[in-house]
Amino acid sequence: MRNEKIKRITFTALMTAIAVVLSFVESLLPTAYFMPPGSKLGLSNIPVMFSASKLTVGETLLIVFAKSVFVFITRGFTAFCMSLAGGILSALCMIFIFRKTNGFGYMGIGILSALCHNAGQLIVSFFLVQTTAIVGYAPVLLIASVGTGFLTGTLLRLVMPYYTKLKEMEK
Amino acid sequence: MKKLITKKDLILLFVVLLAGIVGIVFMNSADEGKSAEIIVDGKTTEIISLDEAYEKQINGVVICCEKGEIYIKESNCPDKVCMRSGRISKSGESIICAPNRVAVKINGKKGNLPDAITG
Amino acid sequence: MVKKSKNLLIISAVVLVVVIFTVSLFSSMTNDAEASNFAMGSPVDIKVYGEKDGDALCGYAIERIKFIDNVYLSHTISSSAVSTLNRDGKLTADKWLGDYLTECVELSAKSDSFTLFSGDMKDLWQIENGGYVPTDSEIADLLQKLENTELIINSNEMTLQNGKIDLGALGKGTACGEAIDYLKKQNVEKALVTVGGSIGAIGDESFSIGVRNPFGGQNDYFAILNATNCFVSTSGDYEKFFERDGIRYSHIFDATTGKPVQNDITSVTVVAESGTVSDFLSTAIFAEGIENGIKLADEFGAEVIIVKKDKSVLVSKGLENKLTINDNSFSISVIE
Repeated sequence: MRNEKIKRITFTALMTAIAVVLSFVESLLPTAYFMPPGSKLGLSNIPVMFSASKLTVGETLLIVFAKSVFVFITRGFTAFCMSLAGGILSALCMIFIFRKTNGFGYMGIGILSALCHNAGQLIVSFFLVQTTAIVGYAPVLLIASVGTGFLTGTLLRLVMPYYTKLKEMEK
Repeated sequence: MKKLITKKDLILLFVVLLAGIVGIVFMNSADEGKSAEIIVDGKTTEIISLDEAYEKQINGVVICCEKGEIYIKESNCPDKVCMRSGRISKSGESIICAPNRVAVKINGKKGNLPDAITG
Repeated sequence: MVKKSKNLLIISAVVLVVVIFTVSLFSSMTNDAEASNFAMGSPVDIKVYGEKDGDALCGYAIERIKFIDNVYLSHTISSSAVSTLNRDGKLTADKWLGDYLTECVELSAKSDSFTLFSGDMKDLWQIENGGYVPTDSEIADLLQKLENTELIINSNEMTLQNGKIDLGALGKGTACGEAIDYLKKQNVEKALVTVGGSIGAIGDESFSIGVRNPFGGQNDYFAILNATNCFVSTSGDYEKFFERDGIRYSHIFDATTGKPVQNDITSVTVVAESGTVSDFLSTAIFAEGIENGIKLADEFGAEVIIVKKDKSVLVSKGLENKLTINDNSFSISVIE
């Protein structure tokens, strides 16, 4: 039904808008000194996580892509590549988790999402500088992933009922 | 709705934290390096000694070496992540500027670099 | 079920916050800080280990050094004590300066070849300006003038007669000492201060100090000295010099001849308990020559590493076990 399609597109656009706003908000936050340079809180990933669980694969990837385009406009080409790589990797991972596995709670999902996102970024960095020197960043990113993953996972758990309600409203 | 924290989550948390901590301990136990490589577009363009003062702009990134430590003084990249990466001096440590495709990495080991030199 | 997961949520949030807090606190507590700057015409480097406010402490130590330079010892700042004394011939000193000048006079009295009034000698030989070899009669006039130069200390009134005072030979050691004193007052347990060629160390663990190779570059060292809680200063003929007709004229003068020292020494490194003394001795021993220099070191209970122009090295008995040579072209012998 055409109506349904429009509703789905609108909802996806809504999720994208939220992701973009969160991305902008994140860029305004001052960097805490103990966070490794380059890592982000991952707030803009929360709508993507919801999408991975409740929307189609296509819609999820679309949100990731749109979010990355926003990053491209505001922070340049390199940031765009990192956001895209990290976003796609973590989105795919979460789709897999939500659909195929059972044992993880929101914290675990958040941590895995952060891990994948950071891994995607490291890979892009590797292609850009082409030296294994980047390996040095890995341990610190691992630890940071735990912290940010827990944060985003918890936040997702908190907003889950609201997002779900929103989705119900379209029926 | 799913639970917030499950057993699997806690296992994951500990495994990741452990891996991270082990990695950091391992990196800190490396000796102070003696020389560093500057890598541009994947190729080593220059090898510098950590003992000598150095300041050079490469691809828009100003790499500085002072008192056995290397840091990025200035960079024209949008995020300036490299400028906030602190100072490195130990083998294996590195600072990279991805947008400019520049990396500085501290080489191999040599024990006993002095804390200071008289005269 | 809802209550259970809510409790778990709160507990794990608290745990994580505590972990992050402890980690960041720990990492800021074991901060090793370093600051570099420039003062007294030389690079200054301060390292403070394991203190929470390491960066601030380094900064204040540097400020102390700059203060000593600007207010007391500088030649380039016309309002400094030294400049004022040289220009006006008199000065009312504060307690610090009064005590310091008294100490300088006492130290200088221990060595005939060392003088606090090297200002005129430096001017005559134009060490800072490309160098000039004066005639014998110019030197004779200089020596005559030196004989009449005097610094009179009358409680806090300083009077300088017939000459120019120059504390450059001990100043860096003094600056090191002042920085170390400051850090000690702040209960710093481990630190390393470098002002030009003078180094001061605090801490139970020894530091590795490279001993400059007089025949190499700025960062070349031929040996490593283990130094604990002491001051190390070096004077060398490679620091400031000019050459004329194959002879090297260094910035270290012999007050008895009015000329730059000409002997078989190329560098003297002194390990002592005070910064001022270590810097004074490194210059005085160089000027006195090996025999008298060693006696002078003994008087102060200081230890020396004397490098001769033929690359042979004389080392005090107490330093024998603290020195590791990494260049075999130098031959070491221990002073009995």
